[in-house]
Amino acid sequence: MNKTVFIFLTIVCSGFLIGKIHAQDKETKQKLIGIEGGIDPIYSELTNENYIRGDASMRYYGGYNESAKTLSILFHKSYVGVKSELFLISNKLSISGGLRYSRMVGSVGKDTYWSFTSDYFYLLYRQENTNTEFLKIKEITQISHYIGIPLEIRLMSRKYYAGQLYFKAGVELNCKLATKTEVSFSNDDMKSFESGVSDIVGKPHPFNSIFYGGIGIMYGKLTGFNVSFEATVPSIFLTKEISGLVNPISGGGIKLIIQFPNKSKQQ
Amino acid sequence: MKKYILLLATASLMMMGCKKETELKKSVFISDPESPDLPIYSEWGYNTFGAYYERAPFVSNNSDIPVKVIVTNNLTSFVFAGSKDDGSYSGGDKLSITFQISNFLPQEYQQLMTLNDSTLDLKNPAYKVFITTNNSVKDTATILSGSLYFKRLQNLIVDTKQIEVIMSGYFEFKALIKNNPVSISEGRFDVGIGSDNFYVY
Repeated sequence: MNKTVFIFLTIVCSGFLIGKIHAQDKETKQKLIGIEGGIDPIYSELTNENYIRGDASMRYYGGYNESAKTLSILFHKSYVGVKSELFLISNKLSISGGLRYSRMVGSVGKDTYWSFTSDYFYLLYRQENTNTEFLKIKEITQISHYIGIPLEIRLMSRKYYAGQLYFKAGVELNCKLATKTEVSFSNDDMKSFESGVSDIVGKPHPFNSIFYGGIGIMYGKLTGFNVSFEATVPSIFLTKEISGLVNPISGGGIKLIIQFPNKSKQQ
Repeated sequence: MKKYILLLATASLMMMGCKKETELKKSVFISDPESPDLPIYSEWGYNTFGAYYERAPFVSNNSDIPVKVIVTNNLTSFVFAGSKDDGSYSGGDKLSITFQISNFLPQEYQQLMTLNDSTLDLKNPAYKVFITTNNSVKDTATILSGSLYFKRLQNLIVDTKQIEVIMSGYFEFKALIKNNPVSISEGRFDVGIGSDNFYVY
């Protein structure tokens, strides 16, 4: 959380500083409003391996079985939002803020790339006295919905043909709205155990924060309609317990931004 | 003809009732970080065992059932079958260690649960230990000291059906084999005992 606060304060302070410079500058500043949307696949690890049994699915040429948890661990974040952007310092530097809805999906399943492996794994469901219960599970998926505030700084660079290159840094603070855990069992009769599995997996923390960078190209004009295509590199989660199921580390993605000039201009 | 149809129907019903958990029968070998030749001690039913026979690792392999429990002639035998790696290209000899006890006669594998958290002092005259090499030469070990510790036995239930008993523990002993002192050390096991490897006859 300290890292999050530091980065957040850095961007906010930078914004204030830029705003102060802007107040002293007599040049016309451009204001834009727009909508954006994107998707970021994120490299992740299991939050807790202790409730999943290892398996012997890996096999080498000599027939020697090596232990492995051949699991497929996936996490991605998709989002849409609205934002307002203010350009400063000869329209080269901007600060922006807005409102963003994000959907984060984490899943754990069996890696079925190897044809001789089963399509399920064993989850340790319960241990009472001398009884140990496993459930055969094909996949666990956890979907969480967030509302968040992104804060960004964008630096416009040189023009390339019809477009203009830019670089971006930002931080996003999210508040969880809802979470749902879905379980696909090997045996459909075990569906009644879904809530129990959800309790084992746990829930994500109510808040999370993400730091991200970006590089993109803007087509159009600051004084008119423009479209930007952006690569989000990197996208780093600053907080833990993002998902009860998997722990997202870092990744990248793509974003589309459509902007219009705001009617009022700063003088 | 009716008798054969009835037998076929009965066999089919029995096969449907005996749900096979093929994945649970496989061995999952996870090296012990402190003794990489041996599997770690675990309680997941990974169907592995290992020990040092003198200095050579004696571990479960992929061709022999790691442990069989055989109840016959008023004796119960726990047969650990694997390979002793002598460092040669061929991988070593087949070896099995049998712990035989006379005061415990389970009729079903579920009755093995009574061994939970129990230690057998191998010097007890009720217990015998045999070493079999290459499935042919069987030697009786004269125990000097040692024990077989069943640390934890668990009824394993998968999707609400009992499948097997997971048997986990340790063993070590010093013995005279053909009048030569031999040391078996750092023995550990984590195996599943079910209808496939529990024999009563």
